[in-house]
This record gives sequence, structure tokens and C-alpha cells, in this order.
Amino acid sequence: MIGNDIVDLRLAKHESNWQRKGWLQKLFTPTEQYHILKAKIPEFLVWEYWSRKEATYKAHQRRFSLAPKYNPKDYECIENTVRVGENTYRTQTKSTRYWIYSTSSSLVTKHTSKVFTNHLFAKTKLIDFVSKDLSIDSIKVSVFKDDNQIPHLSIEDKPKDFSFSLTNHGSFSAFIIDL
Amino acid sequence: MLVLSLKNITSYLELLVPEFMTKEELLSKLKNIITPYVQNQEGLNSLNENTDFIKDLEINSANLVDVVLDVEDEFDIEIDNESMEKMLTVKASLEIIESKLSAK
Repeated sequence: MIGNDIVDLRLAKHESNWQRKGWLQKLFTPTEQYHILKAKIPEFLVWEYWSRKEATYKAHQRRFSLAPKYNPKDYECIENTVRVGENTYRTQTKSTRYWIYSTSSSLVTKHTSKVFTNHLFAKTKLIDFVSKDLSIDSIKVSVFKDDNQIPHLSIEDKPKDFSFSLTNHGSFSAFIIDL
Repeated sequence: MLVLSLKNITSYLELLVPEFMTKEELLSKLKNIITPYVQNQEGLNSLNENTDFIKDLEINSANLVDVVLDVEDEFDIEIDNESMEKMLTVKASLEIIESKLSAK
């Protein structure tokens, strides 16, 4: 299973004060806090870790059909993986001056991951991508969310079993799909 | 002789126990706390017990921790990890605040 998460760095600076009392302690494990505080640019590592945790949360939630939960500290970034309980997910992070983007995967699989400079572009682009890949009309492809708020693809109103993830924040959006 | 109406009793109780708050008061305090983080104004206008912070109010997940910290400051309580996990709806938040206040 896969998941992704993008952080608009300029918006994150505006929306969150990572130095607020208690903020780091509620979101990050003691080891993560240690690495953040000794990093050259602590703020950057805050958002890198956050996007890796969020991407992994999405992969993990889809894998086990879990109800929504706000438990970021149960997800620990260790080297290039994120661990949650007995499960380890491999994460990859890309960044520019403007955004940090992480993907997380329980298995090494072939997948397609794309970042867009537009808030809600990723969903349309994902639908285009799937319809091209399967050679069907994009009008027949749609995205719906289940009771746990996990998105699924359906083709001609039939739910399909694709593993994918969508993310958007500020000026950016992205998708990842097992295709 | 003093004749105490129900309203009087309630206000005396509030004087004696500052934590004594009606559900409406709790909800209105919680609404004030979440308002700055809400991205879907319509959801805020129709705020009720079943309102979901992410789905209905589009609060950014990185801001949920600010809601938790603001709740701690406002009510002078500590939200542990186990409680924080559940703070995704108005209903769950009110239950957590009430139980932490009564344990004070």
C-alpha cells in the first residue's frame, strides 16, 4: 500500500508555529525531537518528518481499513523508513524551496508519483492518468471516499482495488498510484 | 428566607466550582478555539456534535495539534496521547474535556 503527503513550506510557516510550547512534544517522538533540534534548519526537518508520517498514515490506514485517528507519535521516522507498531514503511522525500513531498510504501512496487503547482490539480490528473493507462474515457473514472475517509477509484461506478493517494496543501498537490 | 431558583443554584455552583460548565458553554468555548483553523466556513455555521474537524471543517491535520494545545490552555487540563487520538470530532472533544474537567 502507498500514501503521499505534500507540504507548502510558505503556507506551513504561516499556519503553524513549530516552536509553540508543547507542539513538538505532541507530534514527535523523543528521538525525532532530538534530531529536529540539532538539525541545521530545524523547521525543514519538522516538515520532512511530518510529511513522511502523514504519507505513512495514509498507506497504513488503507492497508488495514482503519478509522481516522490522530496519533502522529505512533509513527516514527527512522532513517529512510517510518515505523508504526510492527510495520515498517519505506519513505522517499523530495523537496524544493517551496515544498516538501513524501511518499510511503509497504512494498517496493512500481508506481507513478507526480507533483503539481496547483491546489486541486492532482485529482483531475490522476483520473486522466488512470483513463489513459486503461484506455478508457476519463468520464467513466471517479474518486469517492469510504466511511473512513479513504479515497477509492471507481470505473463506471464500480469500485476498483487501486492503491493510490492524493494530497494537497496551499499552492501544491500530488498523486501517487500503483500503476 | 432565600428562595433559590434553579438558575440561581446554577450560578452559585459556577461560583463555587469554576469548572462547572453547561454543554452549551463548552461548545461555544470549543467553537471559539477551532474557528481560526477552520477552512470551510459553512461547516462552522452548522457546527454540531457530529461535526468532524477534518471532513466537515477542513482543519489542516498539522493544525489539530493547535486545537489540542488551545484546549489545554483554555480549560487548564492535560490532553494525553490516548485522548488526542480521538479528538477528531466535536463530540469526542467535548467528552474528553468534560472527563478531564471532572477529574480535576
